Amino acid sequence: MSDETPPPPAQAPFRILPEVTEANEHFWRSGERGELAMLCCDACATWVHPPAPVCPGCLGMQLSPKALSGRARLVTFTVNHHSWIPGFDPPYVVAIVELVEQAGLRLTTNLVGVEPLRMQADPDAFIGMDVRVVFEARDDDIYLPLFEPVA
Amino acid sequence: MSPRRAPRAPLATGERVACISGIGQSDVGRRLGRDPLALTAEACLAAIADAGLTRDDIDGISTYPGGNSMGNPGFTGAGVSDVQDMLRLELDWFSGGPEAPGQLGSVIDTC
Repeated sequence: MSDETPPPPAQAPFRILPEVTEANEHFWRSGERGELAMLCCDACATWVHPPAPVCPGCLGMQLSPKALSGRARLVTFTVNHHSWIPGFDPPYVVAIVELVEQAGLRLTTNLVGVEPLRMQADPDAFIGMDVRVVFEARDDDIYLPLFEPVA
Repeated sequence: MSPRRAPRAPLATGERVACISGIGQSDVGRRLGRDPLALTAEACLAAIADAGLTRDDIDGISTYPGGNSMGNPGFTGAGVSDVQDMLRLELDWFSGGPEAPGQLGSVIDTC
């Protein structure tokens, strides 16, 4: 049995997993260390995400993965009610969060540890709230960065 | 044999006032182990530098066959939007294969 991949936690929903490549591996695997990592320009320290070969700030081509704090702000969200993917059951919150390290450094993600219907009923009470990264470990050493409210 | 009619005056079209002011080439080879988009960036930045320009001078992109190559992956590298987004270019015009459908692309660019 030891050669079998352990199943994901019982509470984790089915997900279609990303294709891990050399360019994005740092992002999908950094959760193993409990960190959220993105590319950062060696020359001017601009964060770059999604991964790109050139810094949009200074056009430098030396970019290295660096750990972020994992803290972010909820920019906007929507509550999905349609069952698009069997096993990935609605309702769930699709959110755009902005990492505290840089204006415009945003991630589309899911919020967890929230009540989707409560958020839908009063969105203005939630937009702008502080959130932090939590990781959902999946097969193939993929750690999906999700976000939860800062208690 | 004399010409049947006098030669026409040159048309004031783009091709008469265009010039190649800079060129750039990326690394070329099999299994370079580099992101294809990085090769595109290398060539674009080399061409801009060769022309003595900066990123802010670039107002248009022309490419062929263009992004996604009409459903034939591997046939081409980056398309217009890939390059525009990567280099954060502010474009007034563009033309490519799938990006601008044939002659309509020229019409759209003049509007």
